[in-house]
Amino acid sequence: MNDATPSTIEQSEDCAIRLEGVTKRFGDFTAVERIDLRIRRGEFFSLLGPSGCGKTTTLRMIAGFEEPSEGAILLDGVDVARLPPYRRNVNTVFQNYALFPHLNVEKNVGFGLKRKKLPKHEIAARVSDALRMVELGDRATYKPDQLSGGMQQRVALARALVNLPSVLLLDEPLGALDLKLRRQMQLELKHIHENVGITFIYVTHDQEEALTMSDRIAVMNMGTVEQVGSPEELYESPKSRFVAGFIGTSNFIESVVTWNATEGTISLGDGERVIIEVPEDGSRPGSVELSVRPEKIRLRESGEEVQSGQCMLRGTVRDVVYLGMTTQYSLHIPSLDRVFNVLEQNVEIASDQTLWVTGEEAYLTWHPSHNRMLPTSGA
Amino acid sequence: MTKPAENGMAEASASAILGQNAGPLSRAIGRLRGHSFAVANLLMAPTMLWLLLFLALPLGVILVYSFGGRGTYGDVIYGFSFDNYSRAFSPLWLPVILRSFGFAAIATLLTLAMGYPLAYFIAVYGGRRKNIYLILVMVPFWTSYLIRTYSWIVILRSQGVVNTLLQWANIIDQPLDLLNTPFSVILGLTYGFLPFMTLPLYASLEKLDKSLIEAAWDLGASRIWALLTVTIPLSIPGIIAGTLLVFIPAVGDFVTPDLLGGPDTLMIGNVIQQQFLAARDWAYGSALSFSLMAILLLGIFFYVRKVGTENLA
Repeated sequence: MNDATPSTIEQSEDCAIRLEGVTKRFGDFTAVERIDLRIRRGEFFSLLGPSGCGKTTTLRMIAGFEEPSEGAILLDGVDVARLPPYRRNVNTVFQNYALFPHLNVEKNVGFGLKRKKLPKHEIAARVSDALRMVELGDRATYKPDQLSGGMQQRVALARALVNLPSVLLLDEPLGALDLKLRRQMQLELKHIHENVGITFIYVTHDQEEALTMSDRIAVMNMGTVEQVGSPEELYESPKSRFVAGFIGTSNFIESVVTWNATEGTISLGDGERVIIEVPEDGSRPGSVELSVRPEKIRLRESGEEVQSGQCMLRGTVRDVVYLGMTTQYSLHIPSLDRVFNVLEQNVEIASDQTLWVTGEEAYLTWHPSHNRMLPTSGA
Repeated sequence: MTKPAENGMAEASASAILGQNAGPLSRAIGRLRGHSFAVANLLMAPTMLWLLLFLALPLGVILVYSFGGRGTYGDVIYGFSFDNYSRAFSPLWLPVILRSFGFAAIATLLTLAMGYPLAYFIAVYGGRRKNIYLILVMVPFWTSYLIRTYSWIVILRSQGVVNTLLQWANIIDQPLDLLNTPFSVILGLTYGFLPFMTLPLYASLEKLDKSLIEAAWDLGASRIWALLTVTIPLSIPGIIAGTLLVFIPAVGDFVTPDLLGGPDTLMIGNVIQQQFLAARDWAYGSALSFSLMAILLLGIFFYVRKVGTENLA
């Protein structure tokens, strides 16, 4: 706290919160292992991962409900890792809302301001502003159990935001709502975030939700951060097999590569090949792991001509799932002994084109730029 | 019992539970299920009968007695006069009544002060050992209340455990007068009724959603504020139940002051007991009982209304 070196001041300017080497152990179990995160001021930042990946533990450490076993949590440049929750300028929207059942909506929302000993008229004014923001101005005197789940959710949001925290923490806040309401609340949350300009840290296991709402996402797995990036970066350039598989779906190819001056080739015989562009760093690893997104692949009939620069595999249609806008195929690739997913837009169905049917043979083609090289486990 | 018979019974009860393959019993239950009012009555019947026979009826008898008088040989002469009631509210008993309420109130506060942290500890930090702790709370019930109270005599009397220890350690020269004092009576009441406070408090604290306490901290409330503004208000039902369960029997208790008390610890329960047993004035004793009950009912009514509405505010 006292050693405010120039570097921490500099970083505090754009970082609302910084995690440095944060580790949390429960007995023998390591829930979170050496996490480093920098979350920018005003950012909508998501912690995304499957259950048990450590995202909620990370959030609870930022809130102050758990003390890190190791590491520092810098809030506005000050290490708060060992401070109790009531001495940090962060507020939480709990998964089950945690509204005080004995207090009405107004008193729930005013709870934090009352603790700050603000004058009564100011509390009343800010509470009614906050309630108006979440469109519950007419429910001030209701008890939480008189409100629907969606309304309770908004009260919880108002109760946290009214304190104008440096960082707002949201722990799967939409998990208990039905799908339609969840979509609506996602948009509302995003809208509120843009209006208040407060940093949001959002915990979710729902990749679609994270992609819809976030400026940046940290994908977590087994207590560590796999990759941090914008939704586009994570989707288009996954840095690990886990990210490639968790965000959307991916097809994976592992194989030995032969390189020439301009490109690498995985030759599978009989015209089947996967062409790889030389990575930016110029490295030419002997064997690679690639991922390809299902929607980047086109299905062609055997007679069709394929440009020589394209990747091409031969497969047999196994399953066809019609999804309205798109159709999802899974095809068995004999040369790789692997099943690939392909997503085709249904734009041409209205014309003479027909859907592929199970058992049909098809060629899968895509441009080499869609291949993503993943770091191999040996690297 | 032979094996086939056992199997047969198991099948019968299983089908009754599942409501399948209706035998006469399950058909009867099925019919009752359709008439929830009838089921409710049936479920309450044993208790209602019990209360009617052993509470309402005796109360009626005592009510009738209380307007009567004492015969020469201790029998009750039926009549209708308020003499007993005017004697019951005579200034003579005022100190006794005040003392009874005072002792009971102090004992209630002491059990609350000890029971609340204990119940909170078991509910919040008990973890897997919760049930062991709860059993430990109830262990004293395995011995008769009378014996437990007697044992305090052994502990408190002038040659008792406490005095012997203190003298042995040269802390005191003369034995302390611990027994037969207000101290020993309040101690006995507090000790005897502690589980009645702890268990309802535990029940309400156990139900309390722990994330509400975290929410209070999160919103800037220190531990003590979270306790005062969230935990305690939400455990009010348990506090009401616990204080009533301790206070009411403590006010009317006569065993504890009888065994642990002295000349200056007479409680209203002793007076009533004396009227029934020693003085054999059942009519007067009845009037005293009824008066005590009326005062208690009135008090409970205002207490629950006050504390209950504060909780709702």
